[in-house]
Amino acid sequence: MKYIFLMTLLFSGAVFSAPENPIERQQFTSSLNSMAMNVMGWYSCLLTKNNHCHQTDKINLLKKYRKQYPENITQIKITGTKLRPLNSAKTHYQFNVDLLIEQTDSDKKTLLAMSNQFIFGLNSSNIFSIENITSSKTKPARTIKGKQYTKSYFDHREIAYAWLSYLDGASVSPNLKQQFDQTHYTVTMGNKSWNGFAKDALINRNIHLAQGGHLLREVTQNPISSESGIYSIDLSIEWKGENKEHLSVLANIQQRLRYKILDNGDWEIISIEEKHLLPNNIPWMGLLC
Amino acid sequence: MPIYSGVGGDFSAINHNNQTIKLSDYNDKVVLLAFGYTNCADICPFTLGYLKGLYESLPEDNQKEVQVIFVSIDPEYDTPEHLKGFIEHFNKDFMGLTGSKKQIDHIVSLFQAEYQPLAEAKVKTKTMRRVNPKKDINASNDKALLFNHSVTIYLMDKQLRLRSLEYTGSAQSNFVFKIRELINE
Repeated sequence: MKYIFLMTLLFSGAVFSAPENPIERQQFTSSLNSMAMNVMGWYSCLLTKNNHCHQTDKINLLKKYRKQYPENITQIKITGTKLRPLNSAKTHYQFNVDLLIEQTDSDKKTLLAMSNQFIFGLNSSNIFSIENITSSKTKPARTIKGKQYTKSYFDHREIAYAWLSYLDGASVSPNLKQQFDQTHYTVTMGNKSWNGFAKDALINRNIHLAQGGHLLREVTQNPISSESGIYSIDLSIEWKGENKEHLSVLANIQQRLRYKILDNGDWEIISIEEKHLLPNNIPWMGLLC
Repeated sequence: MPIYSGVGGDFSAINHNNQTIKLSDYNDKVVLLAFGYTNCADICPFTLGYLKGLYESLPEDNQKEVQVIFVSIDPEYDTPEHLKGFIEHFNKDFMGLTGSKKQIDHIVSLFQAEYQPLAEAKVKTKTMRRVNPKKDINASNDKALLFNHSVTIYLMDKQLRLRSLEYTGSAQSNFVFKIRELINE
């Protein structure tokens, strides 16, 4: 089975070798986005105070696999990923993740390196879920540099991947589907614009982006609103595929998601605004003479 | 060539013959669109010279299926008459577009181009190197703004969908190949 190399950091924008065929690409990205959502959710859970995760599936995973990790984790940084299908039907995948973990005990910080191997399988609802986690032993490591790789870092990405799974037409849980269907969604594509509930706006959007997949390139958090618990994140997304006339289409999509964390720890999307931009890969873009 | 989603779209403007036109009036042609202004000393004449070479290298029957459009980002100075003298210097088949600032800003935003004045103060045009001086004005007092602007050449198909982004550094043979592919699509 061929490895699919995810060369830099999967979860802040990686270089993927996604299939060119639109149908295969859609299958690839919807699977990838579903699995990435799960992994993000898992790490968010590990970073939740006292591991008080609210999702039933994560609670069950914690019971089985929490002891593989050190206590008092304050940061997790993903340093490498590798994904491969375990069968030709692509019902099972192996997702290897290399990590740096910051552990904090009474203000003393220790940095450790470890690897996780997730086995994903399609459940009866055709949704990918984590079936098994195996971890290497931890080793001492150097400092984590750069951003703060805390719970909110993973929350943003869990939501982003969940949304992209939905956009790709992947099966998602009924709760998620209901929430996303009713999310207020504004799409601006050149001189075309639609807004309303996502399930309605997508009818028009999907004429132009009919078959293909969304690859997340970057997630940026905007300054937190003065309203408590409301977050705003910007997603940079690459879409490749075909329109309804089977002509190939490239889209460089920027989305702004606003969401809030509820008292029970669940998140709820408030609104999504989407704009289509010029591609990033033209060397003279932005050059003014 | 893929379609670049979400860039471009129909708009209305005033051409160098002082007629109101819409981009969709050309939806049976391959369109090459660039931004600039007549007081631009270097990149604009260079771009139009490049487009002239490109266009004139096409066989005549292909030329009939292509429209080169130059959108002025200085509509205050670039009146239709002045734009006509400028654009026809390069090729009489080319079209110059001007209009209200609102119209031009709308076109710029549709194509996600940019422009900005280099300074707030206007400069005497008699010191500028230009393709054509403006007629019927007091040349010694005439002033205009200088601008920075995007240099991209937008290649659109016959349904006015953006299919390629080029510039004066694009290999002419590749560019011509793309134009002919869209003509034959």
